[in-house]
Parts: sequence; structure tokens; C-alpha cells
Amino acid sequence: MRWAEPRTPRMGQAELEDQIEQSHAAAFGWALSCCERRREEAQDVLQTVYFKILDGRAAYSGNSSFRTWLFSLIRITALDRRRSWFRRMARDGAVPLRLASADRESELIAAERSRAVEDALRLLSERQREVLHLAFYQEMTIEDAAEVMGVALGTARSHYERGKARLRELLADELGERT
Amino acid sequence: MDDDRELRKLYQRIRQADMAGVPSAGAVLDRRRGPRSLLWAWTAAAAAAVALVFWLTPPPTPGPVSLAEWRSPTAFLLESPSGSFVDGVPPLGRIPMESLQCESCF
Repeated sequence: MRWAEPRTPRMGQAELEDQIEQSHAAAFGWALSCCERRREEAQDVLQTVYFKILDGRAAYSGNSSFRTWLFSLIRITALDRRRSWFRRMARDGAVPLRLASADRESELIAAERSRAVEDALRLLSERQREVLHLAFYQEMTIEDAAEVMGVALGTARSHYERGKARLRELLADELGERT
Repeated sequence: MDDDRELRKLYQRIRQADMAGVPSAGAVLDRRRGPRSLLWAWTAAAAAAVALVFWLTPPPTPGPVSLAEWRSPTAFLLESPSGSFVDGVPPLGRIPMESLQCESCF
């Protein structure tokens, strides 16, 4: 899939809607990754992001591609949402270390992904998961991934290499069977 | 040879599965009209609460006044136009006596 990557600052409403429409499928995949594959949460995050953009609370400056900007907005919104959720849980005195596995599983797309892959991805660090998703799922360059993640290129590369090694290690059986 | 071939395949499979169930952008925007409608609901509820508080709050009553500051409501009746003459004892020889005379007295 090819992406239109305009660098025009100050887009009009129609143009913004068009860009959102074009980026939507990939943005949904990224939101899923940022929300640990919980679909409802990913949709909530996307909705918030789209409202921010269309209401003008988040303005595209044109310094990066629209997709890179959109992805960093999704990432920040997902992080904020998770932080406020943890604050709420801490206030109510009920912070689980991890969500109940039944709750997670209900959100998963069963299809053809194996449980082993899901578990392996969760065992990666957040940064590793992010950079691998952006590089392999979204087919971004490491430079663009670094921009989305808000880290230096060297840091992104380091997470990329370590993440790959860790994922191969975790999925040794899975990958061995398929190759 | 691409060392990452198997990882690419893995992520491609995940992406294919994800893309099969992507809701449209319009559906994401329209679902529950979440944050926006919630914001309006909270704003309306807050405004109603403020109005209720104002409505239920009794008008302020004057607080207790110290005895030294208290003045009778009819104190003004004791004041006379010639108050300045009554207030003190004028020094002798300083009052023009003719100004105190009236024609009807003589």
C-alpha cells in the first residue's frame, strides 16, 4: 500500500478528512499495537485523535509526513489514556499488574495469529514492540519510526536490533516450523 | 538473503488479520460520539449544579456589630442644622452677636 505523504502545512477540513481516510487502516493497526491489541480501546484512541485533528486541537505543521505525525499523535493519546486509566485504578486501590488474560483474549482477533505470537509480542519491551511494528507491519524506515516514537535514530536502531533478537528467541519454535 | 524474512512474514500475517476487521473511519468517528457528547453532558451537569447552589443559598445576613460601632437608626433626628454651634463652647468675643439677633425679637 502506498501512502500519500503531502508536506503541505495548514490543510483544509476536506483535505484533513481525506488524509484521515487514506491513513485509517494503517492507523487502526498502529492503534491496536499501542493499545496492546485491545480493539475497543484502539477505536476509542482513534476517535479521540480524529476529533483532535478535525476540531483543530491538533494541528498538522507539515514538518513531517502526515502519516508520521498521525502515528505520533496516536501513540501519545494511547499513552495518556493508559496513564489516566492507571491513575484511576490506583485511586480506587485496584491496580492489576496485568489485565486479566480472559479480558485480553476477548479483544484479540483470533483469525490466524497464534497465541504464541501474541504472547511473544507482549514480552517485548514497549519500545521494541513499537519499532518492530512500525518497521515490519507499517513498513516504515527506522528514521520515520524514530520520529513517531520521539526518540533518537540510534536509540530506535538499538531497540530494533534487540527487539528482533528477542522475538526470534521467543518464537524459535514458531519461526522454525514455518521456514 | 533477507535475514528478517520470517519476521516480515509474521507481521504480514498479523496485518492481514487486522485489516480484515477494520471499522471504517466514519464508524470510528460516529461510535457513541464518545468524548464530545460526554464533555457536553459534564458541562451541562456542572452548570446545573452551580445554578442550584446559587438558588438554594440564602441571601447573606449582616454579621454581629460591635457595641462601639452601633448607631441607632433614629440618631439622625438628634442632629440639628445649628449643630456646629451646639457642639462646643465658642470662645468669648469671637461670635458676632448681631448674627444671632432676629428682627422679630425687637
